[in-house]
Amino acid sequence: MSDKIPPPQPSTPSPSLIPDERARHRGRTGLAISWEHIPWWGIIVLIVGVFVAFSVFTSVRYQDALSFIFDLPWHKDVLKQLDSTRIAEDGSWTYTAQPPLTPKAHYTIYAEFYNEDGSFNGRGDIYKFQISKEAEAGEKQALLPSPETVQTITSTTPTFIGKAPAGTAKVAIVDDFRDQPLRIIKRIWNANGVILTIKVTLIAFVVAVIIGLVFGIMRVSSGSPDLRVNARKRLLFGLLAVIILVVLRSQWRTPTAFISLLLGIEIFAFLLPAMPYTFSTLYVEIVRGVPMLVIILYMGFAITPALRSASNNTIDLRGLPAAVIGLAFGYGAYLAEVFRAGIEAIPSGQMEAARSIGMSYFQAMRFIILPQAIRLILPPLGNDFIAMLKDSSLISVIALPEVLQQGRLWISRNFRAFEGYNSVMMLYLIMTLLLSLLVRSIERRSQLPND
Amino acid sequence: MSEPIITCRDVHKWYGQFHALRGISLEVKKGEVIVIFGPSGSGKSTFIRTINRLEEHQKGTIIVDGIELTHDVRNIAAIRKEVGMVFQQFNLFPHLTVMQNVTLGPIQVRKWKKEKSEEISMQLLERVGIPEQAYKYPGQLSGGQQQRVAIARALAMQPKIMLFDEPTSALDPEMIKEVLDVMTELAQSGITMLVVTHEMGFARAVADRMVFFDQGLIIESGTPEDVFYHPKEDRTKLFLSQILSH
Ligand SMILES: Nc1ncnc2c1ncn2[C@@H]1O[C@H](COP(=O)(O)OP(=O)(O)OP(=O)(O)O)[C@@H](O)[C@H]1O
Ligand SMILES: [Mg+2]
Repeated sequence: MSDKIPPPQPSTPSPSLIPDERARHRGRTGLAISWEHIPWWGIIVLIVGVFVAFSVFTSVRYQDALSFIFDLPWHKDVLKQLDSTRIAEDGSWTYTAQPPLTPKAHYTIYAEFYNEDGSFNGRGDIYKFQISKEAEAGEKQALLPSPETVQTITSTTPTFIGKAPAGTAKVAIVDDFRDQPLRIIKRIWNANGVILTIKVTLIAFVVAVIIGLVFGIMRVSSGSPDLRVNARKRLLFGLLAVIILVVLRSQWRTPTAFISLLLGIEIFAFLLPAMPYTFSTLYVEIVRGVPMLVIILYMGFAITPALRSASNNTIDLRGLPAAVIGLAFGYGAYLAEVFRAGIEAIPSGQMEAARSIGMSYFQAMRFIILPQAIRLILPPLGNDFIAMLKDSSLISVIALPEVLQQGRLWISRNFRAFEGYNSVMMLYLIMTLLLSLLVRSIERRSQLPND
Repeated sequence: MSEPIITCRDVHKWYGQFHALRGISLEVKKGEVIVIFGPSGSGKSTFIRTINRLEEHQKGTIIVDGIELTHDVRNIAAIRKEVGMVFQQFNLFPHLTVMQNVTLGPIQVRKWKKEKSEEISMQLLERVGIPEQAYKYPGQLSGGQQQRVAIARALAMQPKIMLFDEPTSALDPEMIKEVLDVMTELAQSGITMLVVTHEMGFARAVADRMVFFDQGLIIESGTPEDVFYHPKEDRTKLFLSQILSH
């Protein structure tokens, strides 16, 4: 609550007493682009924008690549592709819904026809229907086309029969849900490509910020504690713990076991106050020393299968979770350093003042140190977010269909590396440029007024 | 006079090998105004910071308002509620408005309602003479105004004791007076004050007792009259002659 800056209070006698407040709010509202000085990034945005618009509006290939990378269309799914072996001589085809459709749901289903070369060859009749609540699978029900009225059916496995025009090599059974906003939203949320990249980056960044915050605070805690403090108590604690253990477990009653236990517990007892620092430093140094690609491969192909087999398939991190955890874990180390630097940059007098009015360490952190530190670290935090967006392309190695993976898939189907990689590059560029605009605007908003 | 509110007995403090406080014993009675002075590096700041545990003493006893300062966190928290502190560098919270600076302690530590805290804070800002700055940020105020906000912030916790560590030495000369005026008014209101300062005019006017520090020891203490006109120790004489000569 207190880390928000309140609007000027209505009780203040006149606006002239708060001279900077209005300018401050003006600065808060927008990107504040001044047209007299179009900045360098403006020029880049312009060039890229023109380039993208030009390519997209002139080339079918780019349109195709981009729509594939965006995983378009978002208002329909293909239930089934029937190839030429399932189309009769005269063009007639049948399709029985398999897997079964959902009871109680609304459907608009039709067939799309494609020629040998992949070009569109018209659309079949439209079936509109609703499946009743008690509907069951198994029972086959042949449907009649009904483009106007919604029929109710009692089977979840209806059969569609139709006739394709001459020359059709492929029939796509399409489930069209453009009139169902909820399904569209769900489809967009699950879309591959750009959406997946954004989703993974956002989730992983939030997790990484939390990891970074916790480990950053742990790293500013005392570095090297005075081992003499409470030395006798710790020795005693260690000894007691070992004696209890030895009494409990008879197999530890050998001299070697006793000595190694004693040593281990004593070292632990002495290092306990330094644990947060030691632990977080270990994490930061190890993770920063390992390439991101290795972390993601490790997460995807070492940890995930191990967890799966150890837990009898109950913990399954395949796909998105593994990618998010890998990215967040890797970036958490960098963010921990960013947070540590930010916290250490706040003058010690701030903590002293907060403590002197009776606040606890954590209250002081939350209300005084962190709000100031976060203002300081916004630029590096923003940079790391952009870097993370770019590094999210690494998760294509664990076969997650994000932008790069979708691009490569498109290329492998069309053998058009140039268009494919150009599209991928443009998309990343647009995302990072937009983000850096956003970061700048947030930075500008969070500046404190000075005299 | 009444009971001592602060009792220090043989307080020692080491920074590593450096012996910064070498056995300080001092009793402060309720309502007393004590001015501490002495050469730079003599341990004045260190001493008053041990009283609210911004520095830890390693030997001796410090009892504040009946509570002994030990490693016990609850004792430290209880004492900090009763002891306000004003720093040389103000240490206002730059990301909060003046009003938020002052109300933060009451709301977060004393757990008072926001309205009540703001009402009390406004009264305090009036008392230190800057009610019209309440919704500005510290960065928009002059040094003297900032220090007065810092005083209001400390007072908002309604402390029994106020500590001042050279509150005017970071200020331009024309702003010193406005801060000293506030402090004088405060001294007359009966609150217990420990002030580290070299403002001898202020000391003469309001101090009940003056304490001279040198090399981590109390060399001399007494009424302003005694210390100024009849100093017993040579070091006190020398120091006074140095600071009063210009
Ligand atoms: N954190 C610290 N680590 C090591 N030595 C310190 C530390 N703080 C203070 N000292 C030393 O302790 C001594 C006393 O310092 P202190 O700040 O109390 O002096 P002071 O009387 O307030 O001086 P001044 O008038 O300059 O403020 C000085 O010699 C100083 O160098
Ligand atoms: Mg000092």
